[in-house]
Amino acid sequence: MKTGKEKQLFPLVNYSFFIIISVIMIYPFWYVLMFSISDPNVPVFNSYYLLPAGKPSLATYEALLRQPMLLKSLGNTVFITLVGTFVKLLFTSLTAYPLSRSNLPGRSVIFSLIVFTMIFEGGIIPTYLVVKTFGLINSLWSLILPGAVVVYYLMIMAKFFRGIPESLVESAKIDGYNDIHIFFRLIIPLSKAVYGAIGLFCAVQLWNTYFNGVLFINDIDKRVLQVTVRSLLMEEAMTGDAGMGKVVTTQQNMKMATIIFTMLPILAVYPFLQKYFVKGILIGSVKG
Amino acid sequence: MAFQDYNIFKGIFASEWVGLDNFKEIFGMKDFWNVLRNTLIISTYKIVFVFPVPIILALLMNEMKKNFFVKFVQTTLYLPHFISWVVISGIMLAVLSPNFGIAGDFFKVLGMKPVYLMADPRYFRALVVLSDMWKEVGWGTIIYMASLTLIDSAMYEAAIMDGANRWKQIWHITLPSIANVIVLLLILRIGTIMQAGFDQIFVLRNDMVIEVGEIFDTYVYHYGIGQNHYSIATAVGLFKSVVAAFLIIATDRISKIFGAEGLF
Repeated sequence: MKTGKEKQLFPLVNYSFFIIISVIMIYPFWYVLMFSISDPNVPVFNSYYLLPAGKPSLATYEALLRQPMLLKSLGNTVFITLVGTFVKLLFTSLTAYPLSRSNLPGRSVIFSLIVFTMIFEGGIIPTYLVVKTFGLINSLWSLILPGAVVVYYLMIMAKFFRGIPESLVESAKIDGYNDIHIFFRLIIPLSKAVYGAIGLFCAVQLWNTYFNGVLFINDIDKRVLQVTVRSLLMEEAMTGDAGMGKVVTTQQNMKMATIIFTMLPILAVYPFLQKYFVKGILIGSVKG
Repeated sequence: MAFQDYNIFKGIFASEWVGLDNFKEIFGMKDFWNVLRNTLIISTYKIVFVFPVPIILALLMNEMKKNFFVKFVQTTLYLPHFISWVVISGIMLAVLSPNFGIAGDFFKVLGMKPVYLMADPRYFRALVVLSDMWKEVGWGTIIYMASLTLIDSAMYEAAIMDGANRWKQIWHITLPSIANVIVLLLILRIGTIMQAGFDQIFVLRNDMVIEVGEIFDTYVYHYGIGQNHYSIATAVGLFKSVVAAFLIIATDRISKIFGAEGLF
């Protein structure tokens, strides 16, 4: 049997361990937050930023919101996030649904062809040239259309649709509805949870779009948020913060505020994400 | 395209076929072997150091009572997964900066001269692995936590009756119960060894660390799109894709041998 001592010691060590883990997880965010609300006129170096330096102020955020570049790219990102989520959900589910019905001829062949694209990727340059051929370079649609059907989500959705009894669809057919009707009036309302979960994931991914934004967009007006944020963050970053003093501190405050600003929408949907993702990852994990 | 001398003006149908010449060329390039080595080293580090961590965390978390504290820990653990690497690289630049961040003090405590970690080839791979760990371990615990809840609690009760202590319970009941999940995930992870984490390295790499940090995807991008070597870079990319696809299919077969359901 357990000795009394061990019984008490283990939970203590365990709890302390997880307190440390949580601190490691949160501290970088806390640091950035405290830095960003610090008084930009107080130059501080090597601070741990447990609390803001100087008087807390939102001056940096006000300055940030006056940056036309940032607002423009924010608009672009909002556009691809909203439109992109809709497009991805629509096309992924429209592909998944027929593949989930047993009466589709050649179903397994089509399915393997789709899965093949997941295992064997064309690579960056062929993808780039395809986008170029379609004239999508410098168009925000280049960030939406190439990934309109997400294979992994398609598999999750098809698995879910398969759980909808065939007899339900049959009876709707007898009532004189056609397939398109059935899909939009019957299947989608029955699958709200899956749409919600996958939609949230798509939205987060689209919000975080970065590399495709570098690859496909050269026009500075069409830049997405992450690309703009990246270039803001990299200003002088690698020169080792050489010129010390107030200017650098202000600039650094600005960077920190940008980081928080970019994270805010994710934090806003995070509670919903948390509700869904465990379910999502579990449906997915059954296959892979 | 990988088998052509691709000319951007002629297009894919008019460009000249050159057979395997591009592949001959890449296998003769010093860069290629360096990129292959970097990719494999970073991936291997990640598998060795990052892969086991979620298992340990999940086991320890499982030992706590399900209460507010566990929920809180989980919330903090999952959060970084949803933050983009762009933002995380920004946070790293700040926190690890010798002037602003805490890295300066860290070096002083160790009695070393502060260096800029992000721009030092000696620390770059360690940073890649550690930041990946920070971002993804929490996410990794989900699947283990889920399989831990499936273990029949009657087994533990029986074990306690037999006088098994906490470690014996973990060793003889918990670990064997999730062993097949661990094996399956490990095999799948090894199948993706050619991906060393594109987004992450793309934002973390810089000219100072190129020698140790360049991996397949970043190389294809910079050499191909940046310097217009379309065919060669495509050939490098194709090599990567073929090996990766082969590994995924192979690992799928292996996981089926182990009795797991597999991918397809």
